[in-house]
Amino acid sequence: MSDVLYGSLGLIILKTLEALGPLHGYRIARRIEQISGDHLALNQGTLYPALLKLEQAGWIRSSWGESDSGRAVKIYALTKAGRKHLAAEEAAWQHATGIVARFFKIQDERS
Amino acid sequence: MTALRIFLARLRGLFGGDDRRERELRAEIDAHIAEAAEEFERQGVPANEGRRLAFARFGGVTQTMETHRDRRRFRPFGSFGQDLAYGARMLARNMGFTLVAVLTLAIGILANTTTISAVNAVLFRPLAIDRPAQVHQIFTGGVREVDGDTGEDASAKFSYRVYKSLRESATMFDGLLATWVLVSQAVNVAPSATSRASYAGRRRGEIVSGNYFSLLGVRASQGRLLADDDDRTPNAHPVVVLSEKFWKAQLDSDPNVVGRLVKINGHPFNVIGITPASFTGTVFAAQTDFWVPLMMQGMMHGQYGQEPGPQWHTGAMRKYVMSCQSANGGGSTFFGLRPTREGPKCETPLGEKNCGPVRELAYLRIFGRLPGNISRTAAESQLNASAGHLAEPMYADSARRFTLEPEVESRHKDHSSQVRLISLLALGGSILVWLVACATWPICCSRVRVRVSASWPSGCRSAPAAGASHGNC
Repeated sequence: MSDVLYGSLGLIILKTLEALGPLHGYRIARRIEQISGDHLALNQGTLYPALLKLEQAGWIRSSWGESDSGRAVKIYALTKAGRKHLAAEEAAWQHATGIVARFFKIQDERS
Repeated sequence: MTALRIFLARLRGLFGGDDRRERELRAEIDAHIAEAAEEFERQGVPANEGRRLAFARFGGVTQTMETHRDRRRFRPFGSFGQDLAYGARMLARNMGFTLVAVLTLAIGILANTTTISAVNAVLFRPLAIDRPAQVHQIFTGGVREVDGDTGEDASAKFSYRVYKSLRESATMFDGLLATWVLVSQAVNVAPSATSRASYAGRRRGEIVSGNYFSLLGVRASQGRLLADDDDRTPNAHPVVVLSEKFWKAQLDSDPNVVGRLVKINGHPFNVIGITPASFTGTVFAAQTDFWVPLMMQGMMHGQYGQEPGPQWHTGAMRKYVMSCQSANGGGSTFFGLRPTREGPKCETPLGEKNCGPVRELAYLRIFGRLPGNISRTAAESQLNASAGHLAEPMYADSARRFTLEPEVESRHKDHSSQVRLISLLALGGSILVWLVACATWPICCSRVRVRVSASWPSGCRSAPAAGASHGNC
């Protein structure tokens, strides 16, 4: 996983929860792998410290629930603060990548 | 705000409930693995193989749990003991590094202690006198002019006439003393019948009013110190008090020093006593080696060795020129004064120039002891009220003509601002050294750490806290 993506794991998790609603850890991991077309070789374990950090920041909350197969799992859901944070971060991300993208578009102008 | 929330959450983690959260995490991870294995099974992978694959996709379970734990709460002292032991081990293994580090720190600490204690003595420690907080120095509030010759603040210098007048009228004080510091006087001591020790050289002295020692509350360590009776008639009291330092270092601690003859600028003086070692005079950060009565002023040399010194006590007041308006606008180099109808003229290397303000020769610094029940402002107003008859315009035209400052504060103003500057520079320098040491030490340590982690078995991402979970790597 490249450094850029590593730093944005939190953002990816928040966006996943926004799109799919409350999920448990394994579902989040699988979803990230699927969306990225398995380009993100995520060590699934790294998800849990990331989830903890998001929870400490107040952007997600967790509660015990049941998985599809009836197993006891912790379900994570986006909070109001998390939604707000995500919106802000998403805008900032678009802005930043937009600027970088413009530089990549520059053609060779010397001729 | 977010950082604060995280901080608080980790702080909360310190107080209980951690075992429960650890168990919960374990259960969560178990569920994760089970879900993953189940999915592999659904895809037709055998149960054992599915479970193995699930673990592989998860990465290190222990490592995840450890990272989780670290993030959950602070570990203020959890690993402190381990770190300490680890540090000691590394230092023991690396003797050269340890030696350099210890020496660096030792020298740094030594330099700092020395500097700080010296600066403390110079800037803040009261003089070794009786109740030093009561002793105040008098300044003229109106004039703040730097003496062209000495670089000292001219507002601390008074003429003998002003001193006499103030001494008579300022009744709120226990007394006022005057002192003129003379930097470089020729001192000669010949061997005596009982001691072979002799001295010839230049020494710093103070010529002081007779009440100097009694007012400061300094007692003789040998013989007696100057008294009012030693300061009555011009040129009639050839007596001198020596510092203990001078007596020890130059006169070999001669036990019969009282009564010995000391020549100052060729004039014979009788030693009457020795001051205690703790008292070094009224000039902070400098040692005064001898004290003679004010009335013997005629036998002392002026700042630049004029012979004989100006004799204000005789009443023949010499005028002292504050500055000489030379061609380049400043400077005080002049050879003499010539009275003319338009006023005195300075004779300078470039010819005659107009003189700046003229005042009486003023070299005396005045200290007074204020009894505890008298306020500084009250004493100041009494000084100013009584100064009305002082004929000099500089004392008349300012609303606050005299100001008082406690000695510990006045020394910063009065004597050599250079001393203060140097002290502060030294202090700043030592603080810098200290900061550099503080910054260097962890860097050196982290170097050692990095080396260790580089030699750790591959697959271990970072050196684990000392001794912890080797099994993981």
